[in-house]
Amino acid sequence: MKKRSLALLLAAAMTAGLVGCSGGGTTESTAATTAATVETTAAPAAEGEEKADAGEAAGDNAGLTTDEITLTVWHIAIDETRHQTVTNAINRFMEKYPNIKVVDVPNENDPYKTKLATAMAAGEEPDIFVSWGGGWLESFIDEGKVLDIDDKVKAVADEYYPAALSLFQVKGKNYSLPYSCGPVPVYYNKKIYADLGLEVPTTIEEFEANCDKIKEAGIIPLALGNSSQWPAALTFTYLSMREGGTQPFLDAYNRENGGTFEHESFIKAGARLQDWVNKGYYPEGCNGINYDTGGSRMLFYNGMAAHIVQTNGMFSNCRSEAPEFYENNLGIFGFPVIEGTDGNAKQILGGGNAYSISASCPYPDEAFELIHMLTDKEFGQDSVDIAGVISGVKGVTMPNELTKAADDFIQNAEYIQNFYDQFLPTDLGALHKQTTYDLVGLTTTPEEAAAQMEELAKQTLDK
Amino acid sequence: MNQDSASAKKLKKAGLVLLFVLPALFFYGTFNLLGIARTFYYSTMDWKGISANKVFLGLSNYIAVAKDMNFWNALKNNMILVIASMFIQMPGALLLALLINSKLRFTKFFRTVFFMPMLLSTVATGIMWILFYDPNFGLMAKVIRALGLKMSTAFLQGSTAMPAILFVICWQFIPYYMIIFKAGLSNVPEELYEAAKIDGANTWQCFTNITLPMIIPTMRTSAVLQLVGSLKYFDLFYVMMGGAPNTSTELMATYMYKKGFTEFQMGYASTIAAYMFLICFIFACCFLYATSRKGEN
Repeated sequence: MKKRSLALLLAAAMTAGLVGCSGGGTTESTAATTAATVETTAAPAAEGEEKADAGEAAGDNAGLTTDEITLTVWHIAIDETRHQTVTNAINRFMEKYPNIKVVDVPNENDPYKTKLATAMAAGEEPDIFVSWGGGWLESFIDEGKVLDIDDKVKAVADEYYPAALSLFQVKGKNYSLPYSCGPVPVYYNKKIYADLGLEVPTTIEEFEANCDKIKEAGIIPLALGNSSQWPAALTFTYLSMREGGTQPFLDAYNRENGGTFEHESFIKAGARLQDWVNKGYYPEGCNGINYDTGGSRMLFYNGMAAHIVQTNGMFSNCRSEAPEFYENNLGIFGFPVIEGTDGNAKQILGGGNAYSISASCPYPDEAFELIHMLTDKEFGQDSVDIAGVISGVKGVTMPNELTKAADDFIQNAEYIQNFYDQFLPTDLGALHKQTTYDLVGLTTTPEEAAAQMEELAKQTLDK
Repeated sequence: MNQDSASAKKLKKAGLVLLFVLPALFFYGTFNLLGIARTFYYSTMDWKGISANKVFLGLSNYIAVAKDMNFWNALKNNMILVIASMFIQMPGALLLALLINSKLRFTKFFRTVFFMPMLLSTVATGIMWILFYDPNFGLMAKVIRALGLKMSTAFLQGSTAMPAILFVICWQFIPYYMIIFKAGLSNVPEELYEAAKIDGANTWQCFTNITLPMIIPTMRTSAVLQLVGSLKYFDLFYVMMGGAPNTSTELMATYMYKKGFTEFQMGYASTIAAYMFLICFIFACCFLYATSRKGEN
């Protein structure tokens, strides 16, 4: 198996060498405009020896080029801890391949999306870029901007959790290697639970009973800052999965088995979400609270709210924003199940990030080796140790209970549903967020929200 | 012979003028004229904005936008913004300008204080006011609770979002127009007031008969700036609504951004931009035409 993949890599490297001559221009120009450049640490190796015979040199370098080349990586690990993990991995790569210079460009999350689209349109894309998978990545794939690395990923697939890889598959093919993969749990304040004598719930009835008691004690049951519209969508998605399992959504998306976005699981989820709003489970004005400026997290850290349903980014946020809270009070449990439905606890909502390679990259093999090293076991260990983020690679030792618990979610998961707004085509994803926002604001009904989704789905998905 | 040299001189002068204008013309042409032309070109295409693949559609994007209720709703919000800008910012700015132009004490101090908001970047302003309006921790919520008022502290959602953001826009832009008006006021010759005083005019008469007529050209300029600025406004609405303005706060520009950069419908977004350009152009022309006639009378 190993030999075969090696041969494959070699063959690909040779063809890549030919292609490389013609298209080196873009890489250079993107490299020139970037701000942060990681300096090569090791001196360039003696070139003569390695060039002698491709077969011999392959021992370590797997037939990769020995020319002086540059690879550009655009990523979004902008906070110090996460950036550290990326830098470490890049340094390991450059030590191993001294002839390859890696330029890393950290980007802020939201501007990055615009920047990448603009760069793609201008043909100035980086060699390697970060994506969230789903409809967003699919837009770029449809335009022929993303390199098909299905075979290469399959060759290394057993290093990663299948669920982590499946998050980023588009139409059954691999275009990415995951570097973060996180479940969405319910975060709770252990101290409030202890003070009120509550038990961690497993069913929705237990959860609602807890929330009622918390509310009586004058504490907000669930923190939510829904100004940017995606935070409440997490809860909505979980509720719809618990009501009907994962199939109704996939059927509605694939337009199979009579699937529709007006399936009762979506309507029931909307109804329960509105029920929670009416019962006062959420803070006042939650549609106007901004998650990014910390409005909802502050409620949670201060003990003014008992739970928050958030992505795994919450771990690293909490760790840097409220380290004491992280140590003493933070706990997680899986989103409660609704008994007597098709949903179960092993279906989890999650998402993450992965590296993909541009179709225009002149050195696909070198780039793949780089994204492999940017997502390997060493990186995965770094990522949990330094940033508390789970990467999706196997064989990582979890440093504490929290990351262990989150990792268990992924290991035990039979299916990870990517966030609907990432998964769906971009316009449908935007409408999903908008309708959830309207549900929380009580300006629409569950039936109306579902009908709106179905109407647009008919336009964009039925082709 | 004489005529020849005169025309040659004229030509030389024209060449010289062109030479000096050229750099500005180059940038204006590249970034404005070319940009506008490209917008109209893209607006006839079905284009995602990711690669070069486009399909020519003719005018069907224009028809689609004209039928798009979201666009009309955005236009309505823009009109609210125009009206608020003109009828709140103008009088407010004039009042402050008169204050700092007066011979009261500490006017220099006030001038600095009033101008402060203009010095902040819009994103910083937006975030500051998000925190101010926060329903749980914000200053506004605290004040309402301290006063014991039984009202909602949810400002940045639903029907209160628009007024809340309009207030911030006024807070940010009044100083700008204040400075423009202050410049206009400084140009009013002191002698006019002295002559009026001798004729027995009171302060109010001085204001209505001297100050106002003298600064009408300044007011006209700032009104056009406000009109066009409000029609293409983007920043604070985008920042304060967490990057996702909805029905009550969607503007033409934020809708264009959503279509172009979030949903990858660059052709459709270009059509919205083309409409925006036409609307701004028509409004500005009408306004200038209407006010210039009044000026002559």
